[in-house]
Amino acid sequence: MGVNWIGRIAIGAAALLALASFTWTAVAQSAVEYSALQNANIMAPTLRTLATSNLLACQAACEASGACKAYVYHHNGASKGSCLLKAGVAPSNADPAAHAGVRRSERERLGSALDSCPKAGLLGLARTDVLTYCGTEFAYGTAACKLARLNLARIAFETKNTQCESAVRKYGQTDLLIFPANPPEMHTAVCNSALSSPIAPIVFPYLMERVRSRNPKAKPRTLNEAKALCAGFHGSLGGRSNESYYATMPVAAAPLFASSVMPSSLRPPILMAVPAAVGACLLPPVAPICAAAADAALVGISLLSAAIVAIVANDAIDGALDRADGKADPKVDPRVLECDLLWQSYKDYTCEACKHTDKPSERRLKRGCWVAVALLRRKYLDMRCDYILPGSIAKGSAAKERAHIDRWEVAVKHVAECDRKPHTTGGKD
Amino acid sequence: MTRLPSASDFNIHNSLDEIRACEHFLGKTIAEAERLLAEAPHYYDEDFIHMGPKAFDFYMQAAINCVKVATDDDVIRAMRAAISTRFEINDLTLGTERVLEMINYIVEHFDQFGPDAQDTFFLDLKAAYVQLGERIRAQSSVLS
Repeated sequence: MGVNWIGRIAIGAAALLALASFTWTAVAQSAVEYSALQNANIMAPTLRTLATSNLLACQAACEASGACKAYVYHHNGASKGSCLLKAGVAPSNADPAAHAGVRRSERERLGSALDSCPKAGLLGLARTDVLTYCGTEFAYGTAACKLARLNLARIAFETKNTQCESAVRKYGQTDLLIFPANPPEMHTAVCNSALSSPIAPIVFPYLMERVRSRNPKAKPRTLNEAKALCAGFHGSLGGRSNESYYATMPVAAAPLFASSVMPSSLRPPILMAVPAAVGACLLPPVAPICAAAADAALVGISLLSAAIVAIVANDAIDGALDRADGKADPKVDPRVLECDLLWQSYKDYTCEACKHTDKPSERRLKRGCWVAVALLRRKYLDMRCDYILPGSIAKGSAAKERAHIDRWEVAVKHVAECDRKPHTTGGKD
Repeated sequence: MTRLPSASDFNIHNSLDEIRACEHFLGKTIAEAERLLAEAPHYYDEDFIHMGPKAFDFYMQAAINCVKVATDDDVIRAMRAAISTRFEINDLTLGTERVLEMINYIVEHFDQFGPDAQDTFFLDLKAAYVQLGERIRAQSSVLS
């Protein structure tokens, strides 16, 4: 029961809000007194150790103690029956012999901290869509806030911990697909899956991992470098906790990315499932949000989709943020930033035309690229960005829009051409 | 224009497209621009829509050179779309002669561009160039 780490931080589509009052949606808030962490231990100082007959008794003991913020109940193993009342909610570890719980009041306190996260208003103006706040007692707490400001969706490893909450803000029309790169195994899984997928050459420029403590600016420049980083990531999982990995992209692009590498027979469920639930469907156990899509095959698909969308539009986003940074003028129209972001997103793609001589794998890559461009350009047009962006207005919005419509049509035709053109290679790689 | 275009030759209205075109081409020689276009014609062609008229006039030579050595249809497809759009939005104020030179070359040497150029399912590329050339010439004669 309860909300596991994935449920808590997995996905949140917060409501959008007026510039003046941002509403952060704490993700999957618990409706119970305690947030349960099954098969987990909490590594915070222990206030008291009791012998209790069951988990509920342990929970009740915690509740009775004003200082208790969490409990750990050993339901198995050598310490079976012991109940540890915890003074804090420091990192949790997987422990098959224990269940843990975090007081709801603590969660609420953290939840409210989302609203009062330092410079939250500034964050909003600087177009921060994801906010991870880990509480003041948490070693990386304030840093997490800052990270969220500096990069759109950098979710620290530590967000799996019970003292962290994440929130996702819906920014205008651009939904952002967020998934926590937790637990650590998922980092590696996502990283490796993304890089071994047929669209790796598209993905890798966007796939960034930064092992901050060792190499703050690590960016893979080639596929091999990216793979090396994946391997490094894997090797660093033995206790280091201050790596960060982050992944986000406009949610609308996800199904199309997925469809570009999926057998056509599988596309419909992906198209339905990915925007709704990919964040929660990354790995079993399937969180409640995935209930509707919880057959094993779909979870498998979602995992792959998630790998595919392990794309960090960070270059584009950083660019937008850089421009926004330092000039957090409350009069700035957020639509300008969103249009800027969309523009940069599609300009990040360098697509090639499909040819008769393409191998199927090449064809998929090319098609996926054009699909993404067409989608992002359509969104740009739907938002009427040429009537919003000052440079376009100065040039003449109608002419700019005409030009951008042409370019969108070009992208759509490329997609169609990729679908239609026969392979002279006989359809084999 | 014999000197390299300046930033103000690219970026007149400070739109994102102009800024990016400037970032791509500013300071590039014709040969360097030719290499750039050949490397990713379906990416850099958009810069030819948005760069200012003086820069466009200058770098059309790079497009011509690129077309002359092309062995597939990528550059000519990309440039047709770009020039057609530039014409449609009435931004073909400079560079018309070079554009027509390129169109003439393409039409006369159409077989050079390989089998994909012959694919007429979505667009008869040769006919499209012929038509584009006629429209540009017609407008030029009206203006002159």
